[in-house]
Amino acid sequence: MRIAVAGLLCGLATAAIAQDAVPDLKGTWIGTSKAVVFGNNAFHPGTDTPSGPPRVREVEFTMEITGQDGRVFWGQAWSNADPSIRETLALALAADGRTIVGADSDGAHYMTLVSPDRIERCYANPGTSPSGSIVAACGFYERMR
Amino acid sequence: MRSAVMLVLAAGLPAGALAQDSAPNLVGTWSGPFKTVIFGHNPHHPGSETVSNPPRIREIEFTMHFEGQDGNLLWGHSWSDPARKEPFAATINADGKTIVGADTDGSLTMSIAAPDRIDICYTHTGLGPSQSIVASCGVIERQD
Repeated sequence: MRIAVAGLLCGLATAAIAQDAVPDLKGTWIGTSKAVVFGNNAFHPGTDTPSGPPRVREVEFTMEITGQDGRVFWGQAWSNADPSIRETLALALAADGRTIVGADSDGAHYMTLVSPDRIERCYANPGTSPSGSIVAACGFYERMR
Repeated sequence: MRSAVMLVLAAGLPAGALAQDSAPNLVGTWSGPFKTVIFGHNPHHPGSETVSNPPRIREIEFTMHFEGQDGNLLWGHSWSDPARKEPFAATINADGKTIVGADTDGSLTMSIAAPDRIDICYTHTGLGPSQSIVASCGVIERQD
């Protein structure tokens, strides 16, 4: 019984540490996102308009996290098809230690830290953006070491 | 053993179903500190910075007043400066715990951590009038 209680306490302490510890997310993350796109924008070029049928595209993206201060971090993201077009990223880690929310110039990011070097990244872009395009995308990203 | 399992199932299932169906009452005033990364500036994060400048890290106290609730739907105002209140609308997901919402220019994602404690995050794309880009998380606690 005493061993069981000790084990339980040890487990609770580990869980508390896991919640408090903020992972270092800086680095270069690369992955492929599958996107549904109405219209076109810099990452999904074309002549399609938002009133036309949607396109389904797979695009490799890089996300570079250049700075972090506790639970908030920032950096840039770009399509590997054209690294000259870069988006500014502001991101924050929720209290659960694995949910990440963020924003760029025209869209919202929702991410889950799956493991220390793997993130599931989803993105949504409303039609109020300058391009008028409507986008939803998800994909897994790995940290390059 | 079989009767023990039946007893647990019989006792547990209605409780689980009830927990899913009944939305917790969140009406009241909640506040807490938020840690924010911001490119540019806006009324909550004043300054002369633009989105092309380096980001700033700021910690501000935020208050959310949940003024009304109809089942899973919530509404109210939020502020960092009481002179400048912003309306928000939100809804509780079917899990009874996750809340998503929006205000005039940003999105809210919340998780009910305890009856009087909510983990909350806020994002704001560059599409708002201020063109600032913001991500922020914090914990708010019920004040009344």
